[in-house]
Amino acid sequence: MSAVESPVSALGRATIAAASYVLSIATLIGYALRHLTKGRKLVPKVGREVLKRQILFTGVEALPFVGLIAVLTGAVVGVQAILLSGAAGRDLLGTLLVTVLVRELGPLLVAFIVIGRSGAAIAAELASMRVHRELDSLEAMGVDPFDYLVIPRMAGVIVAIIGLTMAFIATSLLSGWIILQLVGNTPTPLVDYATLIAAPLTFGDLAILLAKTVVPGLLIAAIACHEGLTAGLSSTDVPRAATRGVVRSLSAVFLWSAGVTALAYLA
Amino acid sequence: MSAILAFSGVSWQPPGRAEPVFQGLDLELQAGELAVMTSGLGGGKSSALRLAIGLESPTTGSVLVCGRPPGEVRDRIGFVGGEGALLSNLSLRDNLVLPLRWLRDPPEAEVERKAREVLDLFGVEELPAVAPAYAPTNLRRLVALARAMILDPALLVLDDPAADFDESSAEEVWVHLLEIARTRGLAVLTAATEPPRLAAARIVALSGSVVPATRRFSAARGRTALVPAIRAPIVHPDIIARRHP
Repeated sequence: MSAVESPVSALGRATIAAASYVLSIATLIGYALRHLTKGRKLVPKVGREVLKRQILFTGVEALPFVGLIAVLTGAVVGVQAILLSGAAGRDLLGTLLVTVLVRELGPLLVAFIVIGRSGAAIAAELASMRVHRELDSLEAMGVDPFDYLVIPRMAGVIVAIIGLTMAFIATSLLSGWIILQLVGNTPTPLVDYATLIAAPLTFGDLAILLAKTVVPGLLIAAIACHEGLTAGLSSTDVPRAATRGVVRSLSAVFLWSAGVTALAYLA
Repeated sequence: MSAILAFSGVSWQPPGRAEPVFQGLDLELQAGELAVMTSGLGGGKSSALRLAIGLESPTTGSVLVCGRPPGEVRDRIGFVGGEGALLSNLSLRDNLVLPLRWLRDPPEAEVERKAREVLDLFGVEELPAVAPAYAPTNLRRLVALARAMILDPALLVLDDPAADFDESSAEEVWVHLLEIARTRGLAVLTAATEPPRLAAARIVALSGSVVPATRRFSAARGRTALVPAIRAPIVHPDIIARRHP
């Protein structure tokens, strides 16, 4: 028997490992959703404080950076949209801005920012708690680490990512309008611009937007929590957990986003 | 009187290990008693504590706290791990009251009263409003002890409670623990590399081989000193001499 694993065997092993990982994350999310749907009264006050802190860290404290990226993205996309729509007219300008900023780039860029800031932080924090035996301590006190650590973080990341995406879209569209004023041939009143943007928007866009914020929020928090809670017990496992959390979250969000886009355009 | 903690024929063999760390461990702890598990490194004393609080299940035998599996009576058990294990992202005070808020969620005035009561037990007057990382080691240890007491447990489980103290302070800690056990009617199970010089403490030496289960408390292959707790003086004569020369 050869000591070197055959490519087929290696592929099979990798596939099983990937499927097992996906199942773990799905189980974590399923368990969390069951808890979340139990209602607010079942979450002790101290758990709600964790939730507030998570929203503050992931949402409020990320606003300046998200705002900056939104302004720059809105400006860049605005210039390109003006150039592309020059001959075709204002309708194409609105469609381009909605397609790029609302349907695609907005949710994706915000998800990347949340992964970089909060996904990595959550994974590192939980891994560090595991290294320092804080999780054992919680469990021994009768505080379920899942209820205390995972549920509020998941809920917090979802709320924050929805809010950040709305803020990103509004800021980037506003930035696009300012660029239109500066670069466009004729001045466009803000009300006309709003009408231009609203025209191509449908209820389907709202569904896409929700799918591209709520699910990535769940995925980012679940993957980060999973990596943190399953990290090794050495201090060198903390950065590894953070890195794995970021890489796997990026892969998951990209896949999900591409899937939703494909489904939306097929539909 | 039924035991607060009962180990019956307990053996512990962690996954991947060929032999049990210890086996045939029998121990009954009543209210007011203090037992100290001792062993060398890897001798199983911390594992025995994890069995007592239900973080691990015994390979054979049973562990009961107040007549029930420890996982079902977590609010009757106070635990302080080896490093104290305060949560690094909470202030000292929030750490102190976390189990009370989580499990019972009483009004804030009651939280404040209980916090004051358990801090008084350990002589802590004021808690600085800082995270554990910014507090002295001894204060962290005392807050962890106070946190373990905040739910009025029946069983207090402590991993090397005197580890961060110098020799004379460590003796004070042991004396104080025994006083707390007796005055508040709880059982205290601890682990320590160096057993305390407390005549009233029961020393359970774990060293890895089998001791007949007929002995009242024991574990394997090593020295097992049996010191009846109830009639013994509260502290070792040496300590009394040092405290009252």
